[in-house]
Amino acid sequence: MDYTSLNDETLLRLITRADENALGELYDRYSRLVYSVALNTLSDTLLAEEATQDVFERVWRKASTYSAEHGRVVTWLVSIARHRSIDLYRQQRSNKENILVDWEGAEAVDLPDGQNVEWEADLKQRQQRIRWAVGQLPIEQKQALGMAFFQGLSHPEIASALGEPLGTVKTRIRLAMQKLRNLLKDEIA
Amino acid sequence: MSEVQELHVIDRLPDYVLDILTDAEASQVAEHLAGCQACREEFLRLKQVADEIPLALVQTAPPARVKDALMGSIQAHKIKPIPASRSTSWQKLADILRLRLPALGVALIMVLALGNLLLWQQLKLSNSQTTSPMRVLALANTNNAPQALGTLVVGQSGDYGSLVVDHLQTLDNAHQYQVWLNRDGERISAGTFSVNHEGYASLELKAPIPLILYDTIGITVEPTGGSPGPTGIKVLGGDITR
Repeated sequence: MDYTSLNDETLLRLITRADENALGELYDRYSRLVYSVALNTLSDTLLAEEATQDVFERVWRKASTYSAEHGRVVTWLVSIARHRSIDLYRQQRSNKENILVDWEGAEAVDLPDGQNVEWEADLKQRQQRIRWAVGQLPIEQKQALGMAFFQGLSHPEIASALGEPLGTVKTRIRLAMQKLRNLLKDEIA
Repeated sequence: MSEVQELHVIDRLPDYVLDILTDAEASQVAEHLAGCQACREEFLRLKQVADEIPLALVQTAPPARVKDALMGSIQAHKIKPIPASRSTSWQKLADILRLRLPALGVALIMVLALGNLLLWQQLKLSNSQTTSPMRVLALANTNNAPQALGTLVVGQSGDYGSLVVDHLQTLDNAHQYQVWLNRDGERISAGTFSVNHEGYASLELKAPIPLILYDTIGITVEPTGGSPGPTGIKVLGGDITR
C-alpha cells in the first residue's frame, strides 16, 4: 500500500487497527510541525523530542477519539502538541527564561509545485498564506502573539517578560489577531 | 472604541480564542456569544486564524532517534491503539435501557450510580488499597435548566466516560446540546447530542486525553453539529477533579 497517497483521516483509521506504517507516515508528515511547536514552546531540544514522541504515542493510543468536529487532523495534532508542550513548559518554568518564538524566515514561501499529493499541496498552500500574513505583522505584535499562543502566557506575564505596559501588550495581541484575520479573509469562511 | 464595540465583545475575542482571558472574563464573553450572531461569526473567523498560526513556524526536523524511539516504544511495550468501537459495559447497559425503557433506564442507572458512589466513598474512608471503582459524578444544573439531571460515569482506567442526562428541554432541529471538557483553561468539544421527547439521552464522551485529566465538564446549547467554542446557554456542569 502506498501510504503517502492516503489522506490523514484514512491514516488515523488504519492506526486504530494497529497499522504501524500508518503511524510512520503520519509521523513523517507532521513530526516537523509538532517538533517545531514543542521547540518554540520549550526552547530545549531534549524536551521537545520528548514532547514529540509523547504526542505521537498519544495519537497511536487515542486515534479512535479523533472526531472531525475537533477540526482537521493536523489541527488536532497541533492542539495536542501545543498543550503537551505548555504543560512541560510550566513544569520547567522556574528554570527557564521566557522564549521568543522563532518567526524568522516566516516570510519565506515554498510555493506548491503542483506535483504533490493532495494533502501536501493543501498544507503547503496554507503554510504559504499564514507565513505571508504573519510576515506582515510588526515584530512587537509577532513577539506578543507568539508568547501568548505557544507559551500560554497571560497578559500580565507577557507584559512583565517584555517590560511593557499591560495595555500595550493587550493591544498588540488584539491587533495582531485582527490583522491576520483581515489578511486571511479570503481563505476563511 | 465605538459604542457598538463597547456593547459587543469583539475586542476581547482575540484573547478568548487564544485562551488567555481569566475565567471570569471568558465567562462574560461566552455569555455574550450565546446571544450575538455577529460576535459568533467573528469568533469563528478568529478561531480559524488561530488554528493556522503553527503552520507559520520555521519548521525543524526532529532527530531520527525520535522516530526510532517512538516505533521502538510501541513495539517493545506492545502498546495497542484503543479500538474505535470500544464500548464499556456501562455504555452497553445504558444503550439497552435507552432503547427499551428510557425512564426506567435512567432511574436504574442513577440507583447503580449512587450505589457505586457509596461504595467508592466507603473504600476511600477505609483507606483501601484495592483498585478504585468507576467514578460517578452528578452534574449541577443551572438556572437555564433547573429540572435537568446529569450523571457522568468515568471508567476504571479514567480514560473513558459516559454521560446520561434527563429532563433536558427538547430542542428544535437547528440546535443540539454540546459537551465541553476543560483543562488548564483549554476547552475541547467532547461531542454533541439530542434528547428524546422525555429529555433523555446517553453519550460516550470522546477526548484526546484521558477524561480523568480534565478539570470540569459543561453542557451548552449550540447550533446543530456543534460550535468550535461554547456560544449558547449552559445547562449542566461539574468538577471532574472531585
